[in-house]
Amino acid sequence: MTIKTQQRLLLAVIGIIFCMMFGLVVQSNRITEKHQARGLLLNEIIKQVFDFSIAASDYSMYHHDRALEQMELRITTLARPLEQLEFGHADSQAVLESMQQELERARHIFKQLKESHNTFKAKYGVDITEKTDVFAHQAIENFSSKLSISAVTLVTNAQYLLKTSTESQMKELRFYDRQVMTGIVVSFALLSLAVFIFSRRFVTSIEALKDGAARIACGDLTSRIGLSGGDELTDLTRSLNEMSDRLQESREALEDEIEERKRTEESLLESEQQLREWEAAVQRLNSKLENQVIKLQEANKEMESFTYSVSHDLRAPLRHVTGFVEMLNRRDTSGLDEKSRHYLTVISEAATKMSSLIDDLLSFSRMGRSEMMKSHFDLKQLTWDVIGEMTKGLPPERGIEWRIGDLPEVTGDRAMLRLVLVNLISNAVKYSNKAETALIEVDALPEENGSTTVYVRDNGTGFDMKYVDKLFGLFQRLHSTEEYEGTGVGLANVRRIIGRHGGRTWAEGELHKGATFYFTLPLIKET
Amino acid sequence: MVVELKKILLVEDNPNDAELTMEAMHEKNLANEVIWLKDGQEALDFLYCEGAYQGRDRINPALVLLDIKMPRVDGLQVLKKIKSDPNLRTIPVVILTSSREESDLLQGYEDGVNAFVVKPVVFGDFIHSVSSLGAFWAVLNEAPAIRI
Repeated sequence: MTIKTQQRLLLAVIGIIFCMMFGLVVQSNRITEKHQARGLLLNEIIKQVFDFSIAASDYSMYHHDRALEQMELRITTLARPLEQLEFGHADSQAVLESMQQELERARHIFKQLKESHNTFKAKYGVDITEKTDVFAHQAIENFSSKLSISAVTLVTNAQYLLKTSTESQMKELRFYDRQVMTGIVVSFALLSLAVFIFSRRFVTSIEALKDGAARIACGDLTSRIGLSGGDELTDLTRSLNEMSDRLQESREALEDEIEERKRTEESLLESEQQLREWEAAVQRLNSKLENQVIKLQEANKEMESFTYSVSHDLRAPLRHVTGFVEMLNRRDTSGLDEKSRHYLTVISEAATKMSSLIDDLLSFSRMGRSEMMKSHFDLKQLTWDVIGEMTKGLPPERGIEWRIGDLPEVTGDRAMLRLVLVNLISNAVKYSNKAETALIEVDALPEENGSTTVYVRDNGTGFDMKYVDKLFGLFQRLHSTEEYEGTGVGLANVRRIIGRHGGRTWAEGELHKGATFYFTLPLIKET
Repeated sequence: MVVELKKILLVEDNPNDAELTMEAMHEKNLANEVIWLKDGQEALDFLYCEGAYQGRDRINPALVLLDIKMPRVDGLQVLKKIKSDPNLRTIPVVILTSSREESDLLQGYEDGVNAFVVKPVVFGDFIHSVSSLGAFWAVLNEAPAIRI
C-alpha cells in the first residue's frame, strides 16, 4: 500500500486510540465526579448528622426549642442527600437503604419527641428538666438517646459508604488509569513501529534512489534502481528508471546521430575532395583547351597569311604566263601549225582559270583576316540594292519574279553581308537560268533565341540532299564549269562570313525543284 | 629652253613584269620614254642623281611607276622619300603592285600616292591598265617641269 494510505491508516489508528483514551479519560473523569458528588453528599450527610448530634446533645442538655428546631432542620435536610445518593454496588445500596430506613425511624422518633416536647411545653411552659415530669423527661430522654443512636448509625454508615465509595473509586480509577497507560504504551509502540517501518523504508528507498540517481548523474545510464513495494517510492523509482531509460534512448539516438553526422561529414569531405580534384582537373583541361585554342588560332593565322602570301606570290608568275602567251598570240602565228596554236590556247585558258581561282582564294582569305566593321542597317534595303545591281547585268529575256519578305534590321559588317547576299542571290539567279520564270524569294523566319533566320529560295535546278555536306566546302562544286560557271568559293565565303558574325548556314534542296539556303544572324539590340 | 621628253620611271624588280610593262607602253608608243630601274635604291640614286647616276641632268621624270615588293629599298619607302622631299614631291607616283593589300593601300595614300593600281593577271586588262596610266600621266596630265 502506498505511504499515504499507511500514513492515513496510522493516523486513523492513532486517532482511534486517542478517541478511546479520550473516552477513558472522560469516563474516569465522570467516575471521579460521581465519586466526588457522592463524597460531597456523604460528607453533607455526615455533617448534617453531626450537626444533628450537636443539636441533639444540646437539646438533651438544655432542651431548648432552638435545639429542637435545629434537629428538625437537620433531619429534614438529611432527606435530600439520602435521596440523591445511589450506588451501583448491591452491598452499598443495601447500606443506603438501611440508612434511609434509619432516617425514617429517626424522623418518626423525632416526631414523637417533638410531640412530647410540645406537649410538655404546652403543659408546663418551661424547659423540660427531670424535675418537672420525670416520665415525660424520661420519654424525651429516651427519644433523644434513640436519636443519638440513629445519628451514630447514620454517621457510621455514611462513613462506611464513604470509605467503600472511595475504595471503589480508587479501584475504578486505577482500572482506567491502566487502560490509559496501556493505550499510551500501545500507541507509542505503534508509533515507534510505524516510524521504524517508515524510516527504514525511507532510508533504504532513499539510499537506493540516491545511489541510482548518483549513478545516472555519473553517466551510467544502464543501471536501474530495484525497489519494490507498491507505494509512491516505487512510483518514483519507476519514474527515475523510466527517465534513465529515456536518457539512455536519447543518448543512444544522439550517438547514432553523431555517428550519422560524422559519416555525412566524412562523405562530404570526400565529396569536397572529389570536387576539388575535379575542379583541378577541369582547370587543367581548361588551360589545355586554352592552349589548344591559342595554338589553333595561331595556326589559323599562319594558315591565312600563308594562303595570302602564296596567292599573292602566285599572281606574278601567273601574270607572266598569261602575258607572254598573249604576246605570243599577237605575234604572227601563221608560222605555227594548228596543234601549236591549240596548245597555246589551252595554256592561255588554263592560266586564266588559275588566276580567277587565285583571286577567289585571295578574296576568301581576305574575308577571314580583315577587320569587321559592324553597323546597324536594314537588311531589306541591302537586298534590294544587291538585286538592283544583279539585274543590271542580266539579259532582258531572263524573267525573274522577286518575292522579298519582311527582312529585319541587323547588326554586322555591311560589306561582308553584302557579299553574302550577292553570293546567294547570284547563285539563285545562276542556277535557275533554265526555268521559264525564275521565282526567287528572300525572306526571314520569326525571331527565335535572339537571332533571325534569313533564306534565299529559288525554283531552279536544285541539288541532291546527299551532297548537302559538300555545298559549303571551299572549291566544292556539284556541277562542271560547262553547266554553270564558278569556282566554288561563293558558299564557302558565305559560311565564313556568317560564321564570323556568330550565325549558322545550311541548305535544303530537291533535284530539279529548287534550293533554299539559310543563314542565321544574332540580333544584337541597339548598343 | 630645251624641253625634255617626259620620262616614265619604272621601278620593278621582276624582269618579266618589266617586259610586260614595256610591251604595254609600246602599244601607246611610250616605250622609248620608259626608264627601268630594278629596285628602290637605284630609284633613289636616280632621283637624287647619286651613285651610278651622278652627273645626270637633274630633271624629274613625268611619272614614277612603283612596285612595292623589292629588295633593298621597297616601294613604300621610296614613296615616302619622294613625297617628303620638296624637290621630288610634285612627281606623280603610281603604285603598280601585284596584289591589293589593304595595309599597303592605306599606307600609300597616307604617304600621298597619286594612284594605286593592281596589276591585272589577264594580259589584255594588264595592257589596258598600264598603257592608260602611261597615256594619262605622261601625256594627258600636266606636270610641272622642274629643273632641280
